[in-house]
Amino acid sequence: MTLQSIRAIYEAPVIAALAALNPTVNCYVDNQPVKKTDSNKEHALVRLNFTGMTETTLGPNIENIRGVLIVECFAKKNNGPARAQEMITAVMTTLNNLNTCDPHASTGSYGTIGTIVGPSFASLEDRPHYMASISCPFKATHLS
Amino acid sequence: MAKPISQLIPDFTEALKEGIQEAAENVVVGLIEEGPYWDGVFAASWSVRKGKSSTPTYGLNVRGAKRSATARTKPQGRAIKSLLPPIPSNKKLEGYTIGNMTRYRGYAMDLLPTNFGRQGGRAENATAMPDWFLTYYQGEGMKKKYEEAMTNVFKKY
Repeated sequence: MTLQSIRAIYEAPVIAALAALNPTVNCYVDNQPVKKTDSNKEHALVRLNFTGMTETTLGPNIENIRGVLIVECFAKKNNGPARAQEMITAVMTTLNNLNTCDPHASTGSYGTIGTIVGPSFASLEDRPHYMASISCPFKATHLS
Repeated sequence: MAKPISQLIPDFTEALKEGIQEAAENVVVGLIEEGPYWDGVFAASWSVRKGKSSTPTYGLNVRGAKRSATARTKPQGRAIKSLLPPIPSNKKLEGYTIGNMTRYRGYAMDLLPTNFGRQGGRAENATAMPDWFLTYYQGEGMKKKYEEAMTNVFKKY
Protein backbone atom coordinates (compact mmCIF):
# COMPACT_ATOMS: atom_id res chain seq x y z
CA MET A 1 0.00 0.00 0.00
CA THR A 2 1.33 3.43 -0.81
CA LEU A 3 -0.51 6.49 0.40
CA GLN A 4 1.17 8.55 -2.29
CA SER A 5 -0.40 6.50 -5.07
CA ILE A 6 -3.81 6.88 -3.42
CA ARG A 7 -3.37 10.64 -3.16
CA ALA A 8 -2.44 10.66 -6.83
CA ILE A 9 -5.78 9.07 -7.82
CA TYR A 10 -7.55 12.24 -6.70
CA GLU A 11 -4.93 14.97 -6.91
CA ALA A 12 -3.55 14.24 -10.38
CA PRO A 13 -6.85 14.57 -12.31
CA VAL A 14 -7.75 17.77 -10.44
CA ILE A 15 -4.34 19.30 -11.20
CA ALA A 16 -4.67 18.27 -14.88
CA ALA A 17 -8.22 19.60 -15.19
CA LEU A 18 -7.25 23.00 -13.78
CA ALA A 19 -4.10 23.13 -15.90
CA ALA A 20 -6.24 22.51 -19.00
CA LEU A 21 -8.27 25.68 -18.42
CA ASN A 22 -7.48 28.85 -20.28
CA PRO A 23 -5.67 30.59 -18.61
CA THR A 24 -4.20 27.66 -16.67
CA VAL A 25 -4.69 27.49 -12.92
CA ASN A 26 -1.85 26.46 -10.62
CA CYS A 27 -2.87 23.88 -8.08
CA TYR A 28 -1.28 23.20 -4.69
CA VAL A 29 -1.64 20.02 -2.65
CA ASP A 30 -1.01 19.30 1.05
CA ASN A 31 2.23 20.68 2.50
CA GLN A 32 3.00 22.73 -0.60
CA PRO A 33 3.22 26.45 0.14
CA VAL A 34 1.42 28.73 -2.29
CA LYS A 35 4.04 30.66 -4.26
CA LYS A 36 4.10 34.38 -3.44
CA THR A 37 3.48 35.11 -7.11
CA ASP A 38 0.27 33.05 -6.96
CA SER A 39 -1.07 34.20 -3.60
CA ASN A 40 -2.82 37.20 -5.14
CA LYS A 41 -3.73 35.46 -8.39
CA GLU A 42 -5.98 32.58 -9.36
CA HIS A 43 -4.99 29.27 -7.84
CA ALA A 44 -6.47 26.16 -6.27
CA LEU A 45 -5.82 24.08 -3.15
CA VAL A 46 -6.42 20.35 -2.84
CA ARG A 47 -6.46 18.84 0.64
CA LEU A 48 -6.84 15.16 1.34
CA ASN A 49 -7.43 13.75 4.81
CA PHE A 50 -7.40 10.02 5.46
CA THR A 51 -10.06 8.96 7.97
CA GLY A 52 -9.54 5.20 8.10
CA MET A 53 -7.45 2.39 6.70
CA THR A 54 -8.99 -0.89 7.81
CA GLU A 55 -12.26 -2.53 8.75
CA THR A 56 -12.52 -5.12 11.53
CA THR A 57 -13.93 -8.55 10.73
CA LEU A 58 -14.16 -11.85 12.61
CA GLY A 59 -10.75 -12.65 11.16
CA PRO A 60 -7.90 -10.34 10.27
CA ASN A 61 -8.66 -6.71 9.49
CA ILE A 62 -9.41 -5.98 5.86
CA GLU A 63 -8.12 -2.95 4.00
CA ASN A 64 -10.69 -0.20 3.45
CA ILE A 65 -8.96 3.09 2.73
CA ARG A 66 -11.18 6.12 3.07
CA GLY A 67 -11.00 9.83 3.65
CA VAL A 68 -12.22 13.26 2.67
CA LEU A 69 -11.13 15.37 -0.27
CA ILE A 70 -11.47 19.16 -0.24
CA VAL A 71 -10.87 21.40 -3.26
CA GLU A 72 -10.86 25.19 -3.04
CA CYS A 73 -10.59 27.34 -6.17
CA PHE A 74 -9.66 31.01 -5.83
CA ALA A 75 -10.69 33.43 -8.57
CA LYS A 76 -10.40 37.22 -8.71
CA LYS A 77 -12.74 39.06 -6.33
CA ASN A 78 -15.34 41.53 -7.65
CA ASN A 79 -15.35 39.97 -11.13
CA GLY A 80 -18.57 37.95 -10.93
CA PRO A 81 -18.90 34.22 -10.30
CA ALA A 82 -18.24 32.91 -13.84
CA ARG A 83 -14.54 32.10 -13.54
CA ALA A 84 -14.85 30.44 -10.12
CA GLN A 85 -17.74 28.39 -11.50
CA GLU A 86 -15.67 27.39 -14.53
CA MET A 87 -12.83 26.24 -12.26
CA ILE A 88 -14.97 24.27 -9.83
CA THR A 89 -17.04 22.69 -12.63
CA ALA A 90 -13.84 21.33 -14.20
CA VAL A 91 -12.90 19.87 -10.81
CA MET A 92 -16.32 18.29 -10.19
CA THR A 93 -16.45 16.78 -13.69
CA THR A 94 -13.04 15.22 -13.41
CA LEU A 95 -13.74 13.81 -9.94
CA ASN A 96 -17.09 12.43 -11.03
CA ASN A 97 -15.36 10.65 -13.93
CA LEU A 98 -13.44 8.58 -11.37
CA ASN A 99 -16.68 6.74 -10.60
CA THR A 100 -16.56 4.83 -13.85
CA CYS A 101 -18.05 1.39 -14.39
CA ASP A 102 -15.16 0.49 -16.69
CA PRO A 103 -12.98 -2.31 -15.39
CA HIS A 104 -10.01 -1.07 -13.41
CA ALA A 105 -6.45 -2.37 -13.74
CA SER A 106 -5.67 -5.50 -11.74
CA THR A 107 -2.66 -3.88 -10.08
CA GLY A 108 -1.99 -0.48 -8.57
CA SER A 109 -4.50 1.79 -6.85
CA TYR A 110 -7.99 2.84 -7.79
CA GLY A 111 -10.63 4.82 -6.01
CA THR A 112 -14.06 6.36 -6.14
CA ILE A 113 -15.70 9.36 -4.57
CA GLY A 114 -18.92 9.73 -2.58
CA THR A 115 -21.45 12.54 -2.77
CA ILE A 116 -19.92 15.88 -3.69
CA VAL A 117 -21.03 18.57 -1.21
CA GLY A 118 -21.08 22.05 -2.72
CA PRO A 119 -19.98 23.97 -4.61
CA SER A 120 -20.15 26.79 -2.11
CA PHE A 121 -19.04 30.28 -3.03
CA ALA A 122 -17.69 33.05 -0.84
CA SER A 123 -16.11 36.43 -1.34
CA LEU A 124 -13.21 36.39 1.12
CA GLU A 125 -12.91 39.31 3.52
CA ASP A 126 -9.15 39.34 4.03
CA ARG A 127 -8.00 38.17 0.59
CA PRO A 128 -8.43 39.39 -2.99
CA HIS A 129 -10.30 36.23 -3.92
CA TYR A 130 -13.71 34.82 -4.64
CA MET A 131 -13.66 31.19 -3.52
CA ALA A 132 -15.52 28.16 -4.82
CA SER A 133 -15.15 24.96 -2.82
CA ILE A 134 -16.35 21.38 -2.79
CA SER A 135 -15.74 18.40 -0.55
CA CYS A 136 -16.45 14.69 -0.85
CA PRO A 137 -15.64 11.46 0.91
CA PHE A 138 -13.58 8.88 -1.00
CA LYS A 139 -12.80 5.17 -0.89
CA ALA A 140 -9.69 3.65 -2.40
CA THR A 141 -8.09 0.25 -2.81
CA HIS A 142 -4.52 -0.72 -3.42
CA LEU A 143 -4.01 -3.94 -5.37
CA SER A 144 -0.49 -5.27 -5.10
CA MET B 1 -40.61 -17.74 9.27
CA ALA B 2 -39.70 -14.07 9.18
CA LYS B 3 -41.33 -11.97 11.90
CA PRO B 4 -42.73 -8.52 11.22
CA ILE B 5 -40.39 -5.81 12.54
CA SER B 6 -43.09 -4.65 14.99
CA GLN B 7 -42.69 -7.96 16.84
CA LEU B 8 -38.95 -7.59 17.11
CA ILE B 9 -39.14 -4.05 18.49
CA PRO B 10 -42.65 -3.61 19.97
CA ASP B 11 -42.79 0.13 19.52
CA PHE B 12 -40.55 0.88 16.60
CA THR B 13 -41.74 4.50 16.18
CA GLU B 14 -41.10 5.30 19.84
CA ALA B 15 -37.61 3.81 19.58
CA LEU B 16 -36.92 5.82 16.45
CA LYS B 17 -38.12 9.08 18.04
CA GLU B 18 -35.93 8.57 21.08
CA GLY B 19 -33.01 7.33 18.95
CA ILE B 20 -32.97 10.39 16.70
CA GLN B 21 -33.18 12.69 19.72
CA GLU B 22 -30.26 10.93 21.43
CA ALA B 23 -28.33 10.88 18.14
CA ALA B 24 -28.72 14.66 17.75
CA GLU B 25 -27.21 15.13 21.21
CA ASN B 26 -24.40 12.69 20.48
CA VAL B 27 -23.60 14.44 17.17
CA VAL B 28 -23.27 17.76 19.04
CA VAL B 29 -21.01 16.10 21.64
CA GLY B 30 -18.79 15.05 18.71
CA LEU B 31 -18.80 18.57 17.29
CA ILE B 32 -17.63 19.95 20.64
CA GLU B 33 -15.02 17.20 21.05
CA GLU B 34 -13.61 17.63 17.55
CA GLY B 35 -14.07 21.38 17.19
CA PRO B 36 -11.94 24.28 18.41
CA TYR B 37 -12.14 25.57 21.95
CA TRP B 38 -10.86 29.12 22.10
CA ASP B 39 -12.79 31.04 24.76
CA GLY B 40 -15.75 28.66 25.04
CA VAL B 41 -18.20 30.75 23.01
CA PHE B 42 -18.04 28.62 19.86
CA ALA B 43 -18.34 25.31 21.74
CA ALA B 44 -21.34 26.62 23.68
CA SER B 45 -23.07 27.97 20.57
CA TRP B 46 -24.33 24.84 18.83
CA SER B 47 -28.04 24.97 18.14
CA VAL B 48 -30.39 22.05 17.53
CA ARG B 49 -33.73 22.95 15.93
CA LYS B 50 -36.62 20.77 14.95
CA GLY B 51 -37.05 19.84 11.25
CA LYS B 52 -35.39 21.63 8.36
CA SER B 53 -34.67 25.09 9.65
CA SER B 54 -32.10 27.85 9.51
CA THR B 55 -29.68 28.42 12.38
CA PRO B 56 -29.95 31.86 14.00
CA THR B 57 -26.81 34.02 14.18
CA TYR B 58 -25.74 36.08 17.20
CA GLY B 59 -25.85 39.85 17.01
CA LEU B 60 -22.74 41.88 16.16
CA ASN B 61 -22.10 42.67 19.85
CA VAL B 62 -21.31 39.03 20.75
CA ARG B 63 -17.57 38.69 20.29
CA GLY B 64 -15.01 36.13 21.35
CA ALA B 65 -12.45 37.01 24.00
CA LYS B 66 -8.68 37.14 23.52
CA ARG B 67 -6.87 33.99 24.49
CA SER B 68 -3.36 33.23 25.62
CA ALA B 69 -1.12 31.85 22.88
CA THR B 70 -0.29 28.85 25.09
CA ALA B 71 -3.85 27.95 26.11
CA ARG B 72 -4.76 24.49 24.89
CA THR B 73 -7.45 23.23 27.26
CA LYS B 74 -10.60 21.68 25.88
CA PRO B 75 -13.66 20.46 27.77
CA GLN B 76 -14.02 16.72 28.23
CA GLY B 77 -16.59 14.31 29.65
CA ARG B 78 -19.07 16.02 31.97
CA ALA B 79 -17.81 19.47 31.04
CA ILE B 80 -19.10 18.85 27.50
CA LYS B 81 -22.58 18.00 28.81
CA SER B 82 -22.84 21.47 30.35
CA LEU B 83 -22.24 23.03 26.91
CA LEU B 84 -24.98 21.08 25.13
CA PRO B 85 -27.97 22.99 23.78
CA PRO B 86 -31.53 21.90 24.64
CA ILE B 87 -32.71 19.20 22.21
CA PRO B 88 -36.37 19.70 21.23
CA SER B 89 -38.66 16.69 21.16
CA ASN B 90 -39.01 14.78 17.92
CA LYS B 91 -42.66 13.70 18.23
CA LYS B 92 -43.46 13.65 14.54
CA LEU B 93 -40.04 12.36 13.43
CA GLU B 94 -39.18 15.70 11.85
CA GLY B 95 -35.44 15.27 12.40
CA TYR B 96 -33.14 18.15 13.33
CA THR B 97 -31.06 20.99 11.94
CA ILE B 98 -27.76 21.42 13.77
CA GLY B 99 -25.71 24.60 13.34
CA ASN B 100 -23.48 27.04 15.15
CA MET B 101 -24.77 30.51 16.02
CA THR B 102 -21.48 32.45 16.03
CA ARG B 103 -20.83 34.94 13.22
CA TYR B 104 -17.34 33.51 12.70
CA ARG B 105 -18.52 29.90 12.33
CA GLY B 106 -17.26 29.68 8.71
CA TYR B 107 -13.72 30.40 9.91
CA ALA B 108 -13.95 28.25 13.05
CA MET B 109 -15.19 25.33 10.93
CA ASP B 110 -12.38 25.88 8.39
CA LEU B 111 -14.92 26.43 5.60
CA LEU B 112 -13.37 29.82 4.85
CA PRO B 113 -9.62 30.44 4.78
CA THR B 114 -8.18 33.11 7.05
CA ASN B 115 -4.86 34.23 8.51
CA PHE B 116 -6.52 35.22 11.81
CA GLY B 117 -7.61 33.21 14.87
CA ARG B 118 -6.98 29.50 14.44
CA GLN B 119 -5.75 30.09 10.88
CA GLY B 120 -7.48 27.01 9.52
CA GLY B 121 -5.84 24.89 12.23
CA ARG B 122 -2.31 26.09 11.47
CA ALA B 123 -2.07 28.45 14.47
CA GLU B 124 0.33 27.39 17.21
CA ASN B 125 -2.45 27.26 19.80
CA ALA B 126 -5.11 25.74 17.54
CA THR B 127 -7.20 23.22 19.47
CA ALA B 128 -8.71 21.36 16.51
CA MET B 129 -7.20 19.65 13.49
CA PRO B 130 -7.31 21.48 10.14
CA ASP B 131 -10.57 20.72 8.30
CA TRP B 132 -11.97 19.16 11.47
CA PHE B 133 -15.59 19.87 10.53
CA LEU B 134 -15.55 18.41 7.00
CA THR B 135 -13.56 15.42 8.25
CA TYR B 136 -16.10 14.84 11.05
CA TYR B 137 -19.13 15.39 8.81
CA GLN B 138 -17.99 13.57 5.69
CA GLY B 139 -15.64 11.07 7.31
CA GLU B 140 -16.90 8.56 9.82
CA GLY B 141 -16.99 10.65 13.00
CA MET B 142 -20.56 11.85 12.72
CA LYS B 143 -21.84 8.54 11.39
CA LYS B 144 -20.29 6.72 14.36
CA LYS B 145 -21.85 9.13 16.85
CA TYR B 146 -25.26 8.63 15.21
CA GLU B 147 -24.97 4.84 15.12
CA GLU B 148 -23.74 4.68 18.71
CA ALA B 149 -26.81 6.58 19.97
CA MET B 150 -29.26 4.60 17.83
CA THR B 151 -27.80 1.25 18.93
CA ASN B 152 -27.99 2.24 22.61
CA VAL B 153 -31.63 3.28 22.33
CA PHE B 154 -32.77 0.29 20.26
CA LYS B 155 -31.14 -2.08 22.75
CA LYS B 156 -33.50 -0.78 25.43
CA TYR B 157 -36.63 -1.65 23.42
